Amino acid sequence: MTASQNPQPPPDWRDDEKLWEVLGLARPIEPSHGFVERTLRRLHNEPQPVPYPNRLWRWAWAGGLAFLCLAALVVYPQLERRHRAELYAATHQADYLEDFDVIAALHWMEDNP
Amino acid sequence: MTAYDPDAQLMVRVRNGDEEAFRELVERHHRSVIRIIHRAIGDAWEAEDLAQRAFLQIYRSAHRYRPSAKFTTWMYTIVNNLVRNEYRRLKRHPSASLENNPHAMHQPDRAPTSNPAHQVAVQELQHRIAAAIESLPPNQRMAVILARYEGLPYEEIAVVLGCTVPAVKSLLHRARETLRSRLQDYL
Repeated sequence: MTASQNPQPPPDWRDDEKLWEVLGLARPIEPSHGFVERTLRRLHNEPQPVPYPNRLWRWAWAGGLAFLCLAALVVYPQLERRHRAELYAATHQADYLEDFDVIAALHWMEDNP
Repeated sequence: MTAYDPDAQLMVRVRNGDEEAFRELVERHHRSVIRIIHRAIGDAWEAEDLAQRAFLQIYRSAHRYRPSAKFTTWMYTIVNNLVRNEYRRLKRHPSASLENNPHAMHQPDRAPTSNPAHQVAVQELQHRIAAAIESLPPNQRMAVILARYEGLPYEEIAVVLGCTVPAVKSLLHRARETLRSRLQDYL
């Protein structure tokens, strides 16, 4: 069993040199055989993830579309309601005008018997 | 780093799609990457899988590497991010925790010894050290691994962990306290 790399402790470990030594007796770790070849093979076999800008655009499009749908769902009924209210008001306003015409005619007839 | 840094030169070639340069980078650094991840997560099989992912990320992010930055610092930062993601994944899926994983077995000590009692004692010590390191919070654990086993200066550890040098010293101070109490029998 050999001490691991970096045998000299930094200055702030001076009071813990024994701990430094003990940590150096940790189990040595070695890669398994053929790691490099497996990594290169994986590089060829694994599909390349979508590059970040493309991914960002895709999210932006999806977000924009979702916003438009939501806006349409919320705004369209409001517009429809407002249109009906305006139509109703316009109709009633026309009736009032007709009433005023009748009153004016009656006054004229009273003044001009 | 200067233009004479061999890793930086290799990365420039990797950026231009040179796979031979990538192979050379993997050859040069896979041992330290596997060591760091294995000590951080305690699982040999998972460590190699994560190390492969780290190298694939290095290859695919080569265009983002600036030769002015030291390559190993950049590489260790990628490794640290992957390890932190792995901690988060294990937290979300405790069933995948290392205790339940048959691959979580530590590699046996390969040092030749003729004394079985001594071998058992050595394995016991190694197990205690690994358990003590794994008991540390993520940042303390990574700071100890980089300082003790990879010999990184505190300035580089600070860049990898995204903190200041005093913060690294503080992390290591707290880690030493925990390790001292956990390895008391051997001190």
